[in-house]
Amino acid sequence: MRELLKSKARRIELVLALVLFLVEGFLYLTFRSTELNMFRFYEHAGPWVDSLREWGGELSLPQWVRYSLPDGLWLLSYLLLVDAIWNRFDKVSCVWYLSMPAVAFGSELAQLCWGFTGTYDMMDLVCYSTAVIITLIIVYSKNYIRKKIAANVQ
Amino acid sequence: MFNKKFVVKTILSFILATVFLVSACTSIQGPEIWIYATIIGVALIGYTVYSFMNDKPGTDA
Repeated sequence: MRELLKSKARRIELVLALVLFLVEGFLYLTFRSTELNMFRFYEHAGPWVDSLREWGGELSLPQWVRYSLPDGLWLLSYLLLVDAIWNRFDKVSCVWYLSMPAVAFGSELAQLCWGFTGTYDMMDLVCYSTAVIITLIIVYSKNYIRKKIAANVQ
Repeated sequence: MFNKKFVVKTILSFILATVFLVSACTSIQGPEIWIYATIIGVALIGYTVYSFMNDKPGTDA
């Protein structure tokens, strides 16, 4: 565990992932329908959720920020944490990298094709894709830097 | 025996995937997602066991 926290890049990824996860949670709690499964747990949390939702009701944010951005932040947060743990994409770590994108894209396609409860939204897919692209850029940049450093050492 | 670093990474990844899977289930309406999540969860448990059984020292990042 201590080994994992040694690298500066990993620490940045960990902090960024936690911030994104908190922002995603905040957006869900504040703006989403109370029919979601999560509100079964939060109804026991006390009046602070109601206060938060009242405050959020006064804000005017674009639809995609309320309904699609949290999904993208959720996926990006997961991918950053997996990258912080494994530090490279290879045949051993690929299942962990690909598991939540499979859930994300799969649930969206299930809503479109098999009538899963929920609303299919193209913007959700755009946000998921953006999260995957950002992760690919980070993974390939780290690989490139690693190769440069290795070449300089030789 | 097992590569310690690899075991730690695999266990952390499994915990992380479980937390995010549950958070995905709670942010969707209706019960169908739990069936889908259970399938993914069982697949992840299977992969974790498979990883440990096939772990060879030196395959770690």
